[in-house]
Amino acid sequence: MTAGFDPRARLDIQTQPAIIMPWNSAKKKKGSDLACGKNRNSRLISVSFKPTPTFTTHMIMICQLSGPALKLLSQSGLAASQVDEALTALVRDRAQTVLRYHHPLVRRLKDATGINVVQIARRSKYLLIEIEQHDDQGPLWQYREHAPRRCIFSCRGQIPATIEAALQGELLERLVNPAVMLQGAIVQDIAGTADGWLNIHITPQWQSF
Amino acid sequence: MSDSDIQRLSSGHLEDLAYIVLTARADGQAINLYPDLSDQLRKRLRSRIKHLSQYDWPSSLRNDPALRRGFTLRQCCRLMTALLMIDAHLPANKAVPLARQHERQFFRAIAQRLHAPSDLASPDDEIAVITSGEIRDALGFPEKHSLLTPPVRFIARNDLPHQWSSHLADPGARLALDVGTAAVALWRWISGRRLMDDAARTQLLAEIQGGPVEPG
Repeated sequence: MTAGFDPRARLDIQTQPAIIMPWNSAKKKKGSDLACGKNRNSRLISVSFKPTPTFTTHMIMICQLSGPALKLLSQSGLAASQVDEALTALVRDRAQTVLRYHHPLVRRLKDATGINVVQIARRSKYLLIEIEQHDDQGPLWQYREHAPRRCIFSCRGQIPATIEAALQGELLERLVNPAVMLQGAIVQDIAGTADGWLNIHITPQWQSF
Repeated sequence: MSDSDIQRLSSGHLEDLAYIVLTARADGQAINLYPDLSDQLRKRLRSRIKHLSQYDWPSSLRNDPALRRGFTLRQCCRLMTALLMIDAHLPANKAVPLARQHERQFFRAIAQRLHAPSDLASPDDEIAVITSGEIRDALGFPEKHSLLTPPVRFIARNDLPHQWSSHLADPGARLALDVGTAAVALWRWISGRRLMDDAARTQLLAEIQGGPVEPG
């Protein structure tokens, strides 16, 4: 007796081709009844397996969204798909896939969270946000997602070069006291600018929706 | 300074830049950092910028391979002069050569204001006055002067009324461009949103004084 032999498994293998046969192997078996075009049964089966015409590519498109953006959206009670649909509407109007400052959804984000979201762009399945926070004197801090692998948080401040090197791979909270939404981002490298600002290259967590 | 250190304005901001530059006010009113432009207006501004790029202006990928990453402040200022001219209905095939030939002078007028961008317009600001009438050029009208009088002259704001009736009294249309005010508006917008930091401005000013360094 063969060990692990399951008669049902064998049955499946034998029965499967019999189901597929009418449209799959019709050409090979010229003599069989099923291959004959006049056979009513074979026609019925093949028609029922045609893909439905309502199928679109948008349904299977999986977009990526950064952790900070997701937190902002959930705080303001918006779904990522709503933003995505608004961007798709722009494509239909042949405009750039960027929700700008005055778009109602972007304004809603600002009103609900107090964070000054400037734009939400979609570039190759990634939703990229830009934040420019101001106070009375001018810019306070900024967070720009230029590309999925190039996200820059900048703020006023200066730190010694040794600490710059030591902070690589650490969480952003170790260095600055960011808004709640920026928690969990990892510092890649830090560069100071001539006018006393820090440009911090960070890696947020990307999540699909 | 390596090439990657030069700060660049991403091309997504160019339509806003064009709008800010073309609506610059000399009275120093606060700038709306986030102008609300309709899709129609954006399309028109974009087509103008694209039209200029067909004349390799402000630069081309051949001259500056890093152009794909955005425009430097110098290139933004170049774009600005040409945009001002074509907004005054000067055709691009006329505007771009004028901006190219008189680039040094345009930059000198720009540098004059960019040294202190928070200051208001002063009587000493240089205003570019373009006198290149199409018919006048075709007729070769003031033949004896045509070599002596360049098509673009830079005249201090206060001297303008005086010169209008003396040196600028030649027949033909005159177009006055306040490039300094436009450059200040451009810089206030850039620094207000911190799209570039102050190093870009000081670097440009150093370049203008020391001659061209950057490619393209």
